Amino acid sequence: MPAPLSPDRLYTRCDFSTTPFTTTDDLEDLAGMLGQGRAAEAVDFGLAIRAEGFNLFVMGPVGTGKRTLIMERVEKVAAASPVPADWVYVNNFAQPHKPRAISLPAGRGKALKADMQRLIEDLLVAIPSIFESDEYRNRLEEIEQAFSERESDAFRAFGEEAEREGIALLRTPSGFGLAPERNGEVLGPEEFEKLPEEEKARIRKVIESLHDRLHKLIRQAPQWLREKRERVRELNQEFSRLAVEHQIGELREKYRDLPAVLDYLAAVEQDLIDTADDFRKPQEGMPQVLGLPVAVVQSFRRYQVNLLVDHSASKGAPVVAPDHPSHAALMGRVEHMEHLGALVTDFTLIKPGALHQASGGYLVLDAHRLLTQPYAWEGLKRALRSRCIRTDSLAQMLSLASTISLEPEPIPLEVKVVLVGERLLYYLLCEYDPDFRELFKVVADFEDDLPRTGETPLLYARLIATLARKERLLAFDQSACARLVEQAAREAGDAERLSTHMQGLLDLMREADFLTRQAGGQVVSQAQVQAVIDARDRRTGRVRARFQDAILRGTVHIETSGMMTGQVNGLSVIDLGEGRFAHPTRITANVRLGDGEVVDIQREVDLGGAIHSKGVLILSSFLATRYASNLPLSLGATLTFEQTYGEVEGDSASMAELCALLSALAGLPIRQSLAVTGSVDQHGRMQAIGGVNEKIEGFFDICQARGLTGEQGVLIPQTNVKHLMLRRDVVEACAAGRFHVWPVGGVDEAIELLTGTPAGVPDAQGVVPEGSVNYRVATRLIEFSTLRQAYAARSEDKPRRRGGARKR
Amino acid sequence: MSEPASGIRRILLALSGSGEELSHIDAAAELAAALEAELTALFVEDADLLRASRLPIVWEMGRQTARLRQMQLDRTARLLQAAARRSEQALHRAAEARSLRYSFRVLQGKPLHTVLAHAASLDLVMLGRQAAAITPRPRPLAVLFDGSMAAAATLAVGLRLARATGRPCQVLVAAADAQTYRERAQQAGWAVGGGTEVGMQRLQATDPEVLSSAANALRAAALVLPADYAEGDLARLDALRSRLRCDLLLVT
Repeated sequence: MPAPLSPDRLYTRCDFSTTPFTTTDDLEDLAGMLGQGRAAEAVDFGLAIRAEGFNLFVMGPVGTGKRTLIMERVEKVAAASPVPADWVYVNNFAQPHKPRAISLPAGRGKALKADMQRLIEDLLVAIPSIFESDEYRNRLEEIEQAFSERESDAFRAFGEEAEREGIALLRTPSGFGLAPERNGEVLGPEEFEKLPEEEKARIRKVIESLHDRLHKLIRQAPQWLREKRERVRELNQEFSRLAVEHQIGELREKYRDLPAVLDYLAAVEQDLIDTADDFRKPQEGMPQVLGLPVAVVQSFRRYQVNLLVDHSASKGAPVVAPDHPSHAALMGRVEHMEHLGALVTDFTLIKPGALHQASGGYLVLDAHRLLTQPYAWEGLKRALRSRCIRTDSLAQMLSLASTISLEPEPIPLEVKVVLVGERLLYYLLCEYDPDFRELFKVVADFEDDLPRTGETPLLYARLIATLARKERLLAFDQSACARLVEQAAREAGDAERLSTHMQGLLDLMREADFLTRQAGGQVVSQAQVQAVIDARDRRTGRVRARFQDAILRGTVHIETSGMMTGQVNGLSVIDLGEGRFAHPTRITANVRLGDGEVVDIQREVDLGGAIHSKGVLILSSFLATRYASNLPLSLGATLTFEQTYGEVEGDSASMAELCALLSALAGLPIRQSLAVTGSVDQHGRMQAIGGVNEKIEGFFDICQARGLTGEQGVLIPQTNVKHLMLRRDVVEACAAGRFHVWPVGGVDEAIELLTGTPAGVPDAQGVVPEGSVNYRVATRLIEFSTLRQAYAARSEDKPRRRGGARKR
Repeated sequence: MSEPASGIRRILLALSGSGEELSHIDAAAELAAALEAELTALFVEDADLLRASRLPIVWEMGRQTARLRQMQLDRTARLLQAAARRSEQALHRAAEARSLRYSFRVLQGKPLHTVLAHAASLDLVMLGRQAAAITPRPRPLAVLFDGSMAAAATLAVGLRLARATGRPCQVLVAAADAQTYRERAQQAGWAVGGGTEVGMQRLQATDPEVLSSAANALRAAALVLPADYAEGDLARLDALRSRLRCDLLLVT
C-alpha cells in the first residue's frame, strides 16, 4: 500500500536565499522574452525576410506577451528601414470617376498639396484680373461688335432691298412681317384691293421670295451666335493661358524630377485653360461661400490634392496596428456627402486605410478581430495576392448602395503583415483556407510555459523586476518574487514549469503594488502577493461556495466518513472564466447478472462526453480481461455520477468508476473519507489527469468544513505528483497528518486503500489469495457466469419443447 | 417740385414692342435716376403694323423659329398689348428699385411721329439703342454740335448728362471745312466752360451715315442730338437710328 506524500512533495518552494538580491531593484532588466526563444527567432526571421508570402502568424495563448514582443521587434526593425513614399489621389480630368494615384518621395506629397492650394488661390486673383484688363475688354468688345454688326447689317440690307421692291420690313413683338408700301406708308386692305391683279401678283411673288431670304437670314443667326461663342471661348483661352502658364510653369520646374506629377500638372493646365470662366468674378445673386459662388467653390475641388499617405514626419518605415480592422479600416473608403439632396463623392473623399498607411512598412493585426469583421480577411488576402490596394466600397461591392461611386486607381502594396492570434485560429486557417499558407509562411509559436530549472527562477525574478520598473510599481522583495514564481508554477499546473502568461503576472503585481501602497509599504513582500491571491480566490469564489454549501447542507450527498459499498468520491473540475475549482462527486455502481455490458448512465442520456465514454469502455475492457478472460462476462453493471445535471466530460474519473464497480462486485465497502482522481488504462494502470491541485483542494475544503479527521485524503496518479502546487492550508494539514495525498500507480493500490482489504496478488499459478478484493470479484463474476449459463440452458430447452408439440 | 441739378426734369422713353426693349427700360431708368428726372414711357402701337395685319398677303416670320404665320389684326393687337404690359411691368420694377417717378402711356400711330409729337413738353427723348452695351467700362456720350442755337443747348444737356452718369463727353463738331471747325470748336469750348474736359472731333457732314459711323467708332453709350436734327424728315431720323449701336437722345 503506498504511503501518503510528504509535505515537500505537495508544494515545491522557490528558494532565493542563495541568490544575491534583496529586492527587484537589485536585479537587471531582462532583455527579450523569457522562455520564448523559439518564437522570437521566428519573429526575427519573419520580419527580416523580404520575399513574397513571408508574412507572419504569431500564435500562442492570450496574455503571453506576443503583441508586446511583436511591437518591440517590429518597431526596432522599422526604425532602421527607409521611409516609404507619400501617396496622393488627384482628379482624373479625362475620367473623373477614376482618380489617379501619384507617388512622391516622403514629404513631397504635403508640399504638392500646399502648392496646388496656393495655385488656386493665386489664380483666383490672376485670372479675374486678366479678364478685367483693357486689352481683354477691347478684344471681347470687338468680337461682340463684329457679330452684332454682322446681324444688324444683314437685316438692314435686307430691309433696304425689300424697300426697293416696294415692301416694308415690319418688326412685330415676336418676329418680322413684310407688307407692301407706297410713299413710306404700308398699304391698307382697300388700297391693296384696288391694285391691278398683275401688281398684286407681283407683290405676292416678291414677298414670297423675300420670305425665303428672311428665312435663311433668321436661320443663320444661331450659327453666328455659335461662331461668336467660339471666338469668345478662344479669346478666353488665350488670356487664361497667359495667367495659367506662368503659375503652372513654376510648379513644373519644382517637380521636374517627377514625371507623374508633370503629367498631372499638364492636365491641370489644360483644364484651367478650358474652364477659366469659373475663376472670373461671380455674378450678382449667385449663392456664395467665402466670397465665391457655391458652384465655383465646388468646381475648385477638382484641383485639390488628396494627401492619402503623408510621411513628412516619419522617421522610418511605418508600423500600423489598427484596433478595429474592418474592411474599410484596412482598405480605405470612399465617403459621400450630401449635395442638393443627393449623395455625391469625388476623389477628395477617398480616405486611406491601414494598408495605405502601412505600405512600405509593417501591419500588425489581431487575427480574431480581423476574421470577425465582414470581408476584412478576404480584402486583406486580395491585397496581398495582387500586391495592390483597391479602395472599393463594400456597399458597392455587395450592391447595397447605388450612389455615385469612384474607382480609384489601385496603389501598389509592399507590406509585411503580422497576424497575432490563438493557435486554434492558425490551425483552422491552415485547414480551411487554401490561401493562408501561401500568404503567411512564417509562424511564431509562443510557449505557454517554460521549465522551472536552473536559473529560470532568477530570470523570472528579473522579469518581475523589468515589469515593475516599466510599470512604475514598487520593488518586490525576494520573498514576493519567490511567491510569484511559485504562483507561476501553480498557473502552469506543474511544479516543474512556470507559466509564461505575462498579463496574469502583471495583473498580480499591480494588485500587490496597490495593496502595499494602500498599507503605506515601500516594498512588496510575500504577504501582499499572498493577500492578492487569497483576495482573488474570494472574489471569484461565489460559485464554488454555492457548490460547497449544497454539499455541506446535505442537498448534494457527499460522504466524507464511513464506508459504503459501490460508492466512491470522484472529483470534478469546473472552469469559470477567471479561475477554476473542483468539488467531489458521488460515483455509484450497481451490479447484477447481465450480458457483460457496463452501462454508463451518463452516456445513455447523452450527458457523457466522448472521452468520458472512452474511459468507461476502457474500464469495461479491463474488467473483462482481468477477471473473465476465459469465461463469458455475465455482468450487468450501471455506473453514474450522482446528482450531476450537466454533461460530464473527461476520463479523470474512470479509476473512481472502476473502484466503485469492484467494490460492488466484491461486496466490500469503500472508505468515504477518501476521494479518487485519475484515469485508468486497459491494464489497470493509473494515468495523469489535469487540475490535480484544484481537485485535491476541492475535497479538502469539504473535509475541512466538516472537520478533518486524519482519515481523509485523495488518491492521485503517481504521474501527477510533479504537478502538485497545493494551497498552503492543504500542505499544512497534510504536514500535521490531518489530511493525506496518496500517489497511486494502479487499480490494485487504489482499491486496497479504499477498501482496506488487500487487492490480492496472483501467485505463480495465477491464483489470488482467498478473501482479497480480486478473489472476491473473480468469484462473483464466476457466479454470474454460472448462473447465466444455467439460465441459458433452460431458455434453450423451452422453445424446443414448444416447437415439438406444434409438430405433433 | 425742385429743379434737378441736371436741369433735365422729364425724359421720354420710346417703346414700340419690337425687339428687345426691356433692357432699354433699365437703361432709361438708370439715366433718369442719375439725372433725378421723371421718366415717361410712351408705348406706340405701330399703325403700319396694325394696317398690315389686315392684309391677306402679310405673314409674320418668328424671330427665333423662322416659322410663318398669317398676320391677323386681332392677334397683332393682342401681341402689342402683351408687349405693352410687359414693358409697363418692367418699368414699374425699375422705377420702384430706384424710387423714380414715372408714367406709362400707350398710343397708336407711327412710332417716330408719335414720339416726337409728344416730345415738346419733355426735356429729353430716348430712342432705344440698337446694340446692348457689352462692357461695364464707361463709354462716352457723343454730342453733336453744329453751331446753331439748339446745338449750344444740346451740348449743355449733353455735358450735364455726362457728369451725372460719370461718362466722358465727346463733342462731334460739324464743319465742312477747317476754318468753320476752328470757329465752332471755339464756340463749343465757350459753351463747355473752363474746368471741364471734353474731347472734340471734326465731323464733315451730319447725314445719318456719317453721324452713326462717328458715334459707333467712339463706342458711344448714347448720341445726343437737338430734336430738330431731322427737321421733320423722319425717314432721316429713322435711318440714323437703324445705323446706331447706341441710344439716341433728342434734346427738345
